[in-house]
Order: sequence, then C-alpha cells, then structure tokens
Amino acid sequence: MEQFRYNELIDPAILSTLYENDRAFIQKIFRSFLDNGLDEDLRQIESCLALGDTQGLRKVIHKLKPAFGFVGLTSIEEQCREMELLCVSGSSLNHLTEKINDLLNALRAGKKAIEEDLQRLILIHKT
Amino acid sequence: MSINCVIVEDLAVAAEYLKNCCEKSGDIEVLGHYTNVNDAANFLNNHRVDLIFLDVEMPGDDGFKLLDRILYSPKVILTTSKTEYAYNAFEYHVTDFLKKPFTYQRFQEAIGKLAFSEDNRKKESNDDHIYIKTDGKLVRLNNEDILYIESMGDYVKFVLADRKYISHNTIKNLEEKINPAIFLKIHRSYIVNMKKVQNIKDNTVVINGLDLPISKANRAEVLKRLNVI
Repeated sequence: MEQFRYNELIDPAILSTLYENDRAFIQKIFRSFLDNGLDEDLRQIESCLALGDTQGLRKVIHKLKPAFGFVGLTSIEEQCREMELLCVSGSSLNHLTEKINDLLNALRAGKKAIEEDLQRLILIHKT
Repeated sequence: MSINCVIVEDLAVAAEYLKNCCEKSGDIEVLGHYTNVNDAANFLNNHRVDLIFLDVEMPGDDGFKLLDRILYSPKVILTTSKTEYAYNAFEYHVTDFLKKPFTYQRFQEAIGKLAFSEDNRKKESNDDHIYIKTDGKLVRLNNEDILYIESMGDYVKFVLADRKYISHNTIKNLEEKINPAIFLKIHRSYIVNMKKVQNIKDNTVVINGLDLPISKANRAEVLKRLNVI
C-alpha cells in the first residue's frame, strides 16, 4: 500500500502506534474528532476567555487535550497541557488572553489539518 | 476470560478508540457508551456489568460520583491523565489508569490486571489452607500447621509438628501456588513457613529445632522478610 503523507502538524508515528496504520479506522477517528462538538468547544473557549472564567477554560481545554492526542496532533496536545497549568497558576488575564489566542489559532490549524487529511484519505479509499 | 463492560466517557474519539480495543481483544463486549454519570447510573443499576471504563472529568458529576451511586461493585479502569485522582482511585479499588491517548498494548496490560486481581481474589478466599494428594486421598493442611516443605525429587515432604505427608509434586510448582505471605523458598529443596522460624544463624534457618539451609541465591530475600529491629 502506498504510504500516506499526513499534514506536517500530524505525527504519523502516533497514528502508526495507535491504529497500526489501519486507514479505515483512522478515518473513523478523524470523523469522530470533527463531528463531536469540536466547534462548540472552540466557541466555549472564546466565551470563557471573554468572561475571564479560568476554571471553565481549564475544563474545556482538559477535555480537548486527549482528543488532539488521539489524532496525532501532539504539539497541540502539549500546548493544551501547558495552558491547563497556566489556567490554575493565577496568571494575569492579559497574559492568559494572549496565550489562549495562540492556542485557539493552533486548535483551528489542527482542525483544518484533520479536515484536509480526512478528505484525502476518503479520496484514496475511493480510488 | 469473557467480560462485559460499559464505557463512560464524554470524549467521542476516546470512546470510539476504546470500543475498537474491546472488539479487537475478542473477550470484551461493550454493552453501552454513556457520556454522563446520570445516564450511566440508570443503566448500571438495571444491568449487571463486569467492568466500567470510566472517565473522571465529565459534564455534571464526576466519575467517582457514579461509583457512589452503583448498587454493586464492578471492576473499574479509569481513563484519565490526572494523577491527582490517584488517592480516590485507591479508595475506590480502581484496577488501573489509562492515560489518554493509550496504545492497544497498554489497554491489554490493564485488562491483564483484571484477570490477575480476579486470580488473587480467588487465592485470597482460600489462602489459609491447601489440599494435597497423598495415599490416594486429598488431605487438607492448614497453612499454620505446616513447618516446612522439603523436596524429594519428584515428590515433596510436608512436615508438620506431629506428622509428615509425602505428595507427588515439586518445589517449583508449589512455590507458585502456596500463599507467598506465609511461605518462602529458602533453598531449591526447601520452602519454609516464615511464621515458624525460631532463629537464623549464618546460612541456616532453625524451625522446630531443625537446621534448614539457606542458599546464596535466596539469602537476600530471606533477610528482607525478617522483621529485624
């Protein structure tokens, strides 16, 4: 089988370890990642940030963190871990806002990478 | 081993992955997937399950609240990454933690622990005695009555204070089956009841006035088991 080249944000070694390169299963996981409230979670991060609700931020980031791990977005998973700690560290809202905006950008880029790779996987599967 | 389980997990990818692991194992049937404690409690109090894969942080009540609400005690494997829950996990007799994301191999290890704890439970339920085959019958020996066990080639001798029994067995086989909290192999030919040890001098254990040798290989373990003040 021809080797699939994933988006550079995605760690192929993680996908290989978790799914043993079973592309059908990877498609299923990517679909599940995108279709189960990811957009809502991103909106919730924005809303918690606007309210200065650090506890709410921590909760939603904590939930998202392993989801990004399951799809091989390990650098974003790590960024979530750091943010989770920052939320409980008593950082100023200004500092937090800047970091959370960076995280939101990373989360969106990760989502886009998964959307695109899912489409490419589906195309390969069809041909 | 064939077991049934329920997945209580609000992260869809994690639940999907767990279902696949269960399916792949061939031994674990998933009876349901719930994303919150209320729904899971309703199901679990109407259906008896062997195992719960349980997330801790979920919307509403946390996973431990679910364990408070179930009317029986299924095995529990936590699917969380937070070590802060270790104390609670200990209190609730949780079998293992799976830190998300986890590999299939790690999943299998956790399932292996279930079997191990089940074996231990069975062992604990009758760990104060053994049955041995001797003279064409099964004879019950209370652990507390056995002084030591001695190898005799393909046979072993169970030595009690007032009698002895010969049985077709080996020290190696017995070592795996007897209660390790009481018995210890001190030499390739001897397993002793540590509660019966009177004293230890050089490379010898004295039990009921008899000197039994400690091998070099077993000496460290023997010393470790003594309550030396």
